[in-house]
Amino acid sequence: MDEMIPLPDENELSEEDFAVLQSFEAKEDWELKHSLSRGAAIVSSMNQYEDDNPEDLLMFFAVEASEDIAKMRHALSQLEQDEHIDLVRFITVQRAAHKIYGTAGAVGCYQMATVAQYIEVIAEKITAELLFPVIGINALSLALPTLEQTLQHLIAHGNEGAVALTELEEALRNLNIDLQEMLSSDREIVPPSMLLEHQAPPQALPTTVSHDLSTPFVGIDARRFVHLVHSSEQLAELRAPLENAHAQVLAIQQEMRTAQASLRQMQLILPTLLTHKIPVSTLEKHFSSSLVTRILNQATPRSTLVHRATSDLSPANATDTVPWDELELERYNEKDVLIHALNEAITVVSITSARLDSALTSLSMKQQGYFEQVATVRSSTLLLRLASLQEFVSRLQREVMMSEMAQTQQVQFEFAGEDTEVDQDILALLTHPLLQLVHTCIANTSPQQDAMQQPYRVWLHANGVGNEITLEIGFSMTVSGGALEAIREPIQRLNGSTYYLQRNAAGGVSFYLRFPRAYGKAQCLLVRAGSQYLIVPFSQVQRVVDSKQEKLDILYDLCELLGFSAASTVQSSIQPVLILPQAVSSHKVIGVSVDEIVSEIEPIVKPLIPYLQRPGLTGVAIDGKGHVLLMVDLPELIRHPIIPQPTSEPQVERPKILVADDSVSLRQSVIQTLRHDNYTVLEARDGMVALEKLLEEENTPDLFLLDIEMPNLNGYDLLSIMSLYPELANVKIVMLTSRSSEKHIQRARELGAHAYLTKPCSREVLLETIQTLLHR
Amino acid sequence: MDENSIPQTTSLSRTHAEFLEQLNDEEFWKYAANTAHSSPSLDQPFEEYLVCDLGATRSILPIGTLRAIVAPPHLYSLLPASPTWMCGIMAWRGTAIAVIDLEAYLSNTVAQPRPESMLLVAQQDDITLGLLATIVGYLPADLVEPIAQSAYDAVSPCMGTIQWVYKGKSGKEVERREDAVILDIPAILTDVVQQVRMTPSYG
Repeated sequence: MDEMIPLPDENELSEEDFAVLQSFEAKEDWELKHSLSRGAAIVSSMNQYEDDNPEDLLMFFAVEASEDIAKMRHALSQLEQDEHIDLVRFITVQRAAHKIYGTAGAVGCYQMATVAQYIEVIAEKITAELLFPVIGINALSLALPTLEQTLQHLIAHGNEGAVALTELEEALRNLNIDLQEMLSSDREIVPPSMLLEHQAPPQALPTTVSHDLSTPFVGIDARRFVHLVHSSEQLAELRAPLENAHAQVLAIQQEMRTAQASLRQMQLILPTLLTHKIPVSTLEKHFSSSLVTRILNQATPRSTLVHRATSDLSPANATDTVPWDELELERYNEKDVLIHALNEAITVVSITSARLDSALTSLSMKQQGYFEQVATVRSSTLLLRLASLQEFVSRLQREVMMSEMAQTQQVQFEFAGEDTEVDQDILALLTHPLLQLVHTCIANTSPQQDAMQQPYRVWLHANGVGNEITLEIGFSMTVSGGALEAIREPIQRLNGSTYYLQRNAAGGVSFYLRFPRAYGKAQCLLVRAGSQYLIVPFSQVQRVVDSKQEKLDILYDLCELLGFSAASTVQSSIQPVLILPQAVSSHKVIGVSVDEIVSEIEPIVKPLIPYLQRPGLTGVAIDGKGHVLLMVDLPELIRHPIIPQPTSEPQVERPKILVADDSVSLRQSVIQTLRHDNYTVLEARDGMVALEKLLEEENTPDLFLLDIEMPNLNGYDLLSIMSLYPELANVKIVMLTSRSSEKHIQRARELGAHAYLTKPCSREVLLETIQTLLHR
Repeated sequence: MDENSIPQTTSLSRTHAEFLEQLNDEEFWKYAANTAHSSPSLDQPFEEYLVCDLGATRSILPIGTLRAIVAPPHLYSLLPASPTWMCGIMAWRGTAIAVIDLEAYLSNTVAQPRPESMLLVAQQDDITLGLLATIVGYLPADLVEPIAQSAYDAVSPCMGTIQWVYKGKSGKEVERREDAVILDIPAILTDVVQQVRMTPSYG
């Protein structure tokens, strides 16, 4: 151990590792041939079981511990040589020590576990700036040799020997490092196993970012501002024509009313006139038509004129007895007058009606133009808030180029999507988390030996369609776990946002984020479930199908998910089903059936007031009729239905358990324990492999046993990702980790874990916990 | 009299105006004198009370605690995992608020709003709530005589018991005592929010 051992990649197995694995497999075959009855309770402890294979496990552990100690030694030497102390190196030490702490306890090397715990705590305090780095380096320089010597003794003699723990603690006290205080403040005493009470996710989610008050100033593009001013002016100019059109309509409407009143009066006197003779003077009062008035006037003095005319007739006509009509040859009586008046009134009403139609059409057109201009002004205003990604990309590029990895090997940064723009507040919300994501991914990544010749590539691809932005942050190599922690909460704040990750063509990992371009409006589907109308964001619907015509792997009913009673409606010929988007590695078709798809809608969505918030409901909108529309989050609703879904059929096959831990020794130890207890076991060496195995259609486990600290995806990241896949909603999750503080337990509970086991964990506790969860 | 002490405008409630109208001159001046010399009553900070019919009992609630009295909507949006006495959610001035059946809430039964119910919008701090109740009348504060403040906790944390006295038109004091429950609206708001917010069981 005095030689410098090059930093290996802990994800790659050496030949010795493969030999150990083969020995395990051979042992398993031997046991299957001589299998005993499973009825007896398992009373042997983990140690007893390990006694059957102590050498194999110890050898395994020794190899891993050597590698971890080498990492710590390398980081410590770098710290001593560097002019400026880089706190990131302490994180390497902390993680390596944490790993030894967990695995040493599992194989019974408790003294090594104690020393490793000391190292971990010291490194943690340094990174938290609770301990001076110089003092911390001195302390680590004292503790690390103790760990090395203990390991050497273990390798040479098969036991830890007399570890100078007391001397070490004394030396650390001389450096004013009180380990007891550090340990008590950091780790609370918790039972080795804890079945987490299943609670609904915390409702104290931030409602929205108070984007109105986030920054007092907003940068505005001058060109867009001019365009907004111009649009506003055009909007203001539309006011006068609109008012004129409205006034015109009102005037014509008044004329219409007057004409209708005349017609009504005529209607009232018509029966009377037809049965009795009404003096013409009475008729004259009711009719305002000048022609009618003239006729009536002519009708009244006509009798007088007839006599005078008759008397004035020339001798030639003196013999005629027919009276002379000045206007027409026809004689008008009262009935004719009424008919003429009626015809005129009807004509006036018709003309007025036509004018009214014309005026209304003109008003509608002007209103349409007004609304269009309002929409233009609004979109122009929203455009003012958009910002290019250039500044963010520059910061990201700086983060990558100034990383430790960039100092030791060639790193390439690529960016695509220069034209993509995002709301400034959304960009401000996501900038720091995304930078943190990249920093976490590349901070502790150890370059693979054969990849040293190839440049390490990091890329950002941005794409915007409508109000949706998609970002891909890709890495060409394996990355450190824990990256999703930074973006989980900010993404949750943005309605309609989601994230996922997958392997890319370069052999590394890509993180995909999908979020809205701007606040406020969201493109949604208006659907009906029973008697209730709800809205579903477009981003949660891949397509709409008829349940009778397409085969689905899993089908939910929206009414049942919400706990609503289904309205007794007539069964329609089409049963619409909303198909959820599939991640690349998931092959299941999952749908949610609704009673009706009403329309496409683009409402303004606001958050629900806190006491009305429910998991699965992301916001509320109000339609044009004043009705409240709840916005649903389908994946979250499937994961947390209001009414528990009926459990699946009783299992007749052996329960399937997936074990994810980057420590080969611990993983194999657990696998052997579980297989011995007649479980079907799958394994994964890191978070990414675990996710891929979870999503394999035929391999979805009944229970998932995972560590927190793993490369690519740590345990917390994995739980966050699992919440996005409805088909994993029924998988029981058990954490198996050496982190025992209350905050870690709380975190795991919030992310959906069902139980929390701390290392070292006895066999009985492990099996009892699993049995309890699978047979609830 | 100091001119500044006289408000330039005075609002008068309908029932108060009706009450004043039926007084003769002597009664009116006596009432005015009493009002001028009386100190503000801490027991009756509100001018008027609503009398509501809530099933077996009548309840009164101070109008001053209400923001609005409006006609209820035809439809509510259901909120998942809500108490049985909650009708649903409606929009009020651009905000989604919860609406409860007051009678069902007090008797802890299922909400069954009556056709004649009115929506009383109550607001306290940042809590706005709609209460469905059947209004049967108004009561001016001076006709309400509380029995004892300690009776508040006799029935429930949200209610107390009060008697009210009615004075007839003849001028003679016609004492008609009725027991009505007075509702503590702020306490009701707090209790409703707490019960609606309670974490339901999920799968």
